[in-house]
Amino acid sequence: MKDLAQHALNVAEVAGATYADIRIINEDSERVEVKDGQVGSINRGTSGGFGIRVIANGAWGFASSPKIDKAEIERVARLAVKVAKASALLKVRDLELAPVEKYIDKYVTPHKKNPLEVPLEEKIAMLLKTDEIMRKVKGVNITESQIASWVEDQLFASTIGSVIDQRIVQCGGGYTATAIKDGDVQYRSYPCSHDGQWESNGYEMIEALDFPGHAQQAAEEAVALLSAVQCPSGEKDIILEGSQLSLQIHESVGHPLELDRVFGSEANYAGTSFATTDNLDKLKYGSDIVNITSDPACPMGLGSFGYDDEGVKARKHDLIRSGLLVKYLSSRETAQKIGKISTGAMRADGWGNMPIVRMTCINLEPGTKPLEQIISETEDGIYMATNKSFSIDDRRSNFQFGTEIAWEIKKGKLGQMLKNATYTGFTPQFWNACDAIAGPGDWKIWGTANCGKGEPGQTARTAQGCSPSRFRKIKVGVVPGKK
Amino acid sequence: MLIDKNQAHDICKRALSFAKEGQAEVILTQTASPLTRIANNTIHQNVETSDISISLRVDLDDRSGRSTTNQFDDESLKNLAKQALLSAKAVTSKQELPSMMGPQQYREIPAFDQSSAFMEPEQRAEMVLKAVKLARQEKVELAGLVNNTLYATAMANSQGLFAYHNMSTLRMEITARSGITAGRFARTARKAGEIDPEQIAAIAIKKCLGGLNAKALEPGEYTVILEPEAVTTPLMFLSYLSFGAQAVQENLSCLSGKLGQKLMGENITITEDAYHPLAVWAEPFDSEGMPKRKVTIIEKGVAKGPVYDLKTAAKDKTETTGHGLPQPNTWGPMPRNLILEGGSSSLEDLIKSTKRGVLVTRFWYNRVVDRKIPIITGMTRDGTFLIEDGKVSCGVKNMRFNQDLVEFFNNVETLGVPESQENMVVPPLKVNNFHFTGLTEA
Repeated sequence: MKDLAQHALNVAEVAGATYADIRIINEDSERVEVKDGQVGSINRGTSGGFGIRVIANGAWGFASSPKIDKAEIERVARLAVKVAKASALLKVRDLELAPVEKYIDKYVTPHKKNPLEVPLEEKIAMLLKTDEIMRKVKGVNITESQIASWVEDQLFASTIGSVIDQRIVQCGGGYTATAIKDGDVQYRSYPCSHDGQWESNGYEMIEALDFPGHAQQAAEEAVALLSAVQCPSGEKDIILEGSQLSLQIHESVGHPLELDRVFGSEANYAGTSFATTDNLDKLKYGSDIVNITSDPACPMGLGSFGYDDEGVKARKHDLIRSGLLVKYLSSRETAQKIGKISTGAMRADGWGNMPIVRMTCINLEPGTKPLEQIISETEDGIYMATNKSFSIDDRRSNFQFGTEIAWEIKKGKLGQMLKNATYTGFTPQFWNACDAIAGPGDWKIWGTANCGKGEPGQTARTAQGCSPSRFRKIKVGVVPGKK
Repeated sequence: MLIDKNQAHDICKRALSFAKEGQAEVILTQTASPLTRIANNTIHQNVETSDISISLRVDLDDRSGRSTTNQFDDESLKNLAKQALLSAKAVTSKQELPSMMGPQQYREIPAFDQSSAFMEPEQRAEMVLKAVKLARQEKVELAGLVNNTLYATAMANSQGLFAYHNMSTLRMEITARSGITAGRFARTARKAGEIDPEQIAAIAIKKCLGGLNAKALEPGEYTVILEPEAVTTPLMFLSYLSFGAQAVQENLSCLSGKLGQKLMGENITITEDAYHPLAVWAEPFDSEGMPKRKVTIIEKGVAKGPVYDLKTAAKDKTETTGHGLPQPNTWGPMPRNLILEGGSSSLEDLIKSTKRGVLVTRFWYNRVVDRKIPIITGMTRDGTFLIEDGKVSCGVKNMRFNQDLVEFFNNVETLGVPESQENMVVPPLKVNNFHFTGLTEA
């Protein structure tokens, strides 16, 4: 494969490329679903191919193919150069890339059990057991659970001289109990919603989640929500549980700090950002206790890797330090535009797509107090858990989130259960309203398995680490009730 | 290169030959989707991508396994069959699988054109260049894309079924920007010559310039005029939340318990029709190989019925309508080509008839807030305007909505002339009492 990769780079250079890189990838995947006591589907897949990215005449070109042989690699390398030359018809100036070191290296996700080598029978048995526990709870109407795994082997080579082998092992899953009564539909998920929890890790992470051990509680809460009180409307102090806060970080910190968006590259689709470059080192993004990093080198994050998809080594970078915006998620091209080095956030969906700037592991550093203490210091608030809906404007400023479940907080104690909890706000105001972040004991890294961006559409697997946190005077209960 | 019917038949037959036990089914999909993407008036991404994949399903009595690959050598196909079989054997619970069906008759949908299937990157660059020249004259910046797609799909199974369909499209999207103000227009066509880059850019630029210095409206209930792209949003949500038989059977659909009853306004008729001449992206069979039927889902406001696949049809003792997803699955059937019957009014007529209202180009980041009703939230984007006394008076800042979709289709006052929106056919709409609940900053 290394010979083929080197050949591709040579062909591209002979055809006129001033820079080229190639990623040769094979990804094996598996998804197992159970619904209402039946195996819903099992799908085992493999997808292989390569993508060649070049600069010729000062512009980008990219071409890919699933057929990995010498003749096809030559054809695709020449095609990528042809595409780049077409791009150059509209260039304003030649592309410039921030410098990157040459690496010859190997990286493998730290893991114990390859999830694709764990017998299907074991996974099915565990999901059916979980499903059975949920279905035994009276009032539960629908039960769904799933486990999925990916193992990607990637060879990256570039004309800089880098040759990097990576094996990324990822897996995860979760389940949901749905209760329906009198036109009301309520559900509870474990360990979080939107298909569950995901990590760059081995199957041991699924075993540690103990699906059956939490099934009864999830099912009982779904039923209890049917008779819970509607979330009140008004301004409240809210405490967000980790998986909900993870999505808040994803949408209102990760995406707005993607430097390609800031420069307008996503203006036709994913949108732009309020955090424009004139705000760098000036914008008070959050309160003084808000410290957020990009850390693809951290263990177990679904956005963890050894090198990004243009050969930049994974390392931790401050994005927000003591509330101040200090860095962006960037690529070599976008970093160069602001005179910085890349923060290693260039990622592609598989072999067939050109890398774009993507979140890695975006982590809110923990505070000092235990969650229980933060609750006890809250006079009149709401504790909201597990995302139910999420929507944010195309500049990543105004957002509205809903959670599966919530509890009122009165005089420092959790009170009655609330349903249909929603909250809304604007990104910098919201993060500046953060006055308490729980400590390291409550900190966890959450995975997002299906983040969409780019045209053609690409799916990325990202992560957000955090502890539950409190935000003061937030507008809650913003959706008109059923008429 | 397009995989034609004979080639597809040969590949499917070869894949099936390795499945030695039970019933087997293969789905072949070829997609080539070269795309030129612009931002800030330059090409910033330009890609030639293509892939062919095969998905093989093996059913052993009431147990099913599926495996997928994009490699076609004998060894890979042999492994594909082996893996699907192993997966099926791992299933310990019943799955209530309908038997795979034998040969079917399909109504042809002519959907392929060489001009959109095969384009050189230079041709796409030329189209972009025409748009950018206009933008430079008007001192605005364009983002957008030109994307030509070639798509072929085939199905075969061990019961003798074989189906093949191909199609191609060319799409151009343009978002014109000036500061935080934007305007958008997009078009999809079968033939390359039917896309006029300058016309698309001119409309987007006009919207952008017309929206400068937008003022903020107070959240509240407004009459809205929705352009066709915006109308696809409520329909898309109904298609996957409520218009499939499984959702109805599970009591999750707004149709559940309402069949035969008046659910929406009398002026609302929604059909599912893959054969509608304006549906650009449509296939004549579903993922079970069953021919698609035209289905009336809402007729003059009355809930008539959802779409079916084989499994949900058996449960309701009826026939499939040809809207199944790859089986088995947990989601159930889903319509793909919704047609909202329209009227004779133009978009301009709808605006002229409005004393005070909001004109919406499209909705963005739309999500489900309440599954059953259903209520969705989202925001306007890329061209939102105030209408006063029958005229567009100024741009307004984008707004967030939270809207009950059944209520929405009860509040439609006027429907315009339907037009193609890729897989749907929809008219512009004038809708009263639309719930805007917040403001965005742009």
